[in-house]
Amino acid sequence: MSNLVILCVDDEPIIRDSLLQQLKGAFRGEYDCETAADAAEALEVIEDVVDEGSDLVVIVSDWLMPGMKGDEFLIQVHEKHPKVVKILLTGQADESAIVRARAQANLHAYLPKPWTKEDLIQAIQTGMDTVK
Amino acid sequence: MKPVVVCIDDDPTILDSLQYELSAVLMDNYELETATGGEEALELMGELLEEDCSIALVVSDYVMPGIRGDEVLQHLHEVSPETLKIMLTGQATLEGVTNAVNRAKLYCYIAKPWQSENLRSIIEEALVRYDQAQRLEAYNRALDAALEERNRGLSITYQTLEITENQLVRSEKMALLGQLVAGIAHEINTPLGAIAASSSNTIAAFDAGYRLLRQLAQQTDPTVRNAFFDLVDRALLAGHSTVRLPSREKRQKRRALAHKLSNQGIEAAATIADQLVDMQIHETWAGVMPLLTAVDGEDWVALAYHLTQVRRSGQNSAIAAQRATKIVAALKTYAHFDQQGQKVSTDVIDGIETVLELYHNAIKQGIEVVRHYSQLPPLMGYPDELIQMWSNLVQNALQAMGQQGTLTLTTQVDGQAIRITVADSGPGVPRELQDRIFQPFFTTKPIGEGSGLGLDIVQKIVEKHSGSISLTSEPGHTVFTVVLPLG
Repeated sequence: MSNLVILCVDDEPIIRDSLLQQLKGAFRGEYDCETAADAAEALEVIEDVVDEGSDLVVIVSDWLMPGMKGDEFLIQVHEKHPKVVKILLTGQADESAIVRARAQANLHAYLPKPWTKEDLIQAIQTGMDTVK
Repeated sequence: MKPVVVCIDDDPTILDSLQYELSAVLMDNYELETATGGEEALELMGELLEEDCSIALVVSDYVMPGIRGDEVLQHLHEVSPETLKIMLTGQATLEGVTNAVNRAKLYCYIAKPWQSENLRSIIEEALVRYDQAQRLEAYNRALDAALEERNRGLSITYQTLEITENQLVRSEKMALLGQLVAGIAHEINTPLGAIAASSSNTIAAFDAGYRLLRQLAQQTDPTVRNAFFDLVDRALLAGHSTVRLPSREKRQKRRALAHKLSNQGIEAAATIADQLVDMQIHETWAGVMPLLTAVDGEDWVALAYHLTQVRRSGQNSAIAAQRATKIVAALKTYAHFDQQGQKVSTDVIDGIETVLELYHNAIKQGIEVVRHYSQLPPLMGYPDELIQMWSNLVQNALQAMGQQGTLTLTTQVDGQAIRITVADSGPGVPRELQDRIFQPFFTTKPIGEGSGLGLDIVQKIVEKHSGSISLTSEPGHTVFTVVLPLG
């Protein structure tokens, strides 16, 4: 079986750090965890992951980032990777952006910051259950 | 231009005598024109009107070759309704007169032959009437203009009121915001305090625990022990750096390392490579080999990993709490400008240096600081707010320059005031934005990066010190000049 990858996108290094620790703690061996600082880097990572023959399964993305916003990013990913579980994790988002992401990117969950590790893990697990 | 009286008759002798009769009445106040037929009359009057002459009165015959008198008057009425029309004729049909009355608002009908006395008085009265009508018209126009002027005035007053109202609403909102911020600042600062304390406790407990571990590990195989502490020490050192590998590079390093470890016969090569890259010691991985080849080698690396993660988490919490605290403080300062304090004797250069110290981290990355300080007498002011002001100006300058550039600070005494400039070598503020940058909530930074309050706060602080602030900016040289009176 190929590697399963979770990608976290956030412009804040301390948030990426914290997410990595939480996810690696919960899923080490089960999923590989990658991070990206913005949508552009995230698209690069996705490309690499696909090239390696790994399987991108979950994206946890911030909404308010320099450059492309989270909803736009998820919608763009959704066009090529409809099966990927998409989660918005953000301190601030336009309601319309969330509605858009739900409609056009099949957003699985929206988690406000600050978040708890349990909510995040649960969102990923329920997301994976819907895909299986 | 004098108003014109026109006489129309196909008989030149009639026109002559009319001219004679009228010249006594018109005197110098009116021009007299004549026409010998309807066509000629219409052409003449068309020209007069085109030249903006007003036609006061027309005296027309009825039966003429070509166009009849009533028709001439009717045409004239369409283009010049204010002209008074008199029909002077020896033989008019009832239909012709009716026509003239109904369609040309005929003023008077005079039968030929006319009585000189009668004709003159009719004409005289008609001209008085015309004159009155003109005056009334002018008066109405003036009245209209006055009304319009008044309306314009009212509408300006209304707009001003509306703006004032908006300002009132805004200041009302700001006052509410002030109360709100004061209330929540305390509530937020309490958990923030706990986070800040806990994170520093975590770091302290880690450091203490790690020291103990070093002692307790004395019994362990020295090779393993040394390799372990060497690994943790190096990982901790690397963790102090804020530089992080880009995602793609990190993944490549991880893969390369996993490959190398696997070649060395390490079983869980992928996991260990991941941990080592997270600890940022992939370059010196060879030093870890004594650990990996030991019994429980994998666990030793995992222990090192978890230990460094504890310290890193502590650091991250500390950074996060610090940032949140700063934001709460900035909000409080912004919303609470009316708070009364006592001015105290302040050393301005000291304040600026404090700020440079605070931004030491950002500055050392690639910014050159140039100081041109002249000694300043002490200023009576609010030191905390002055520091906030320098801090906002310096932060703006640093953000404008990005990683590289020159920050130039000058101080000088200028009569009864001191003058401080903060200059950066960034790309500058576009001319069209220069007026707007002091407005609250105006920001050129990407969403989420600037509150747009920085320069508004600066301006408020300057005002509170009865000073002034100005900006000059061109690419490569942007200068904020703050002048604060000493007295």
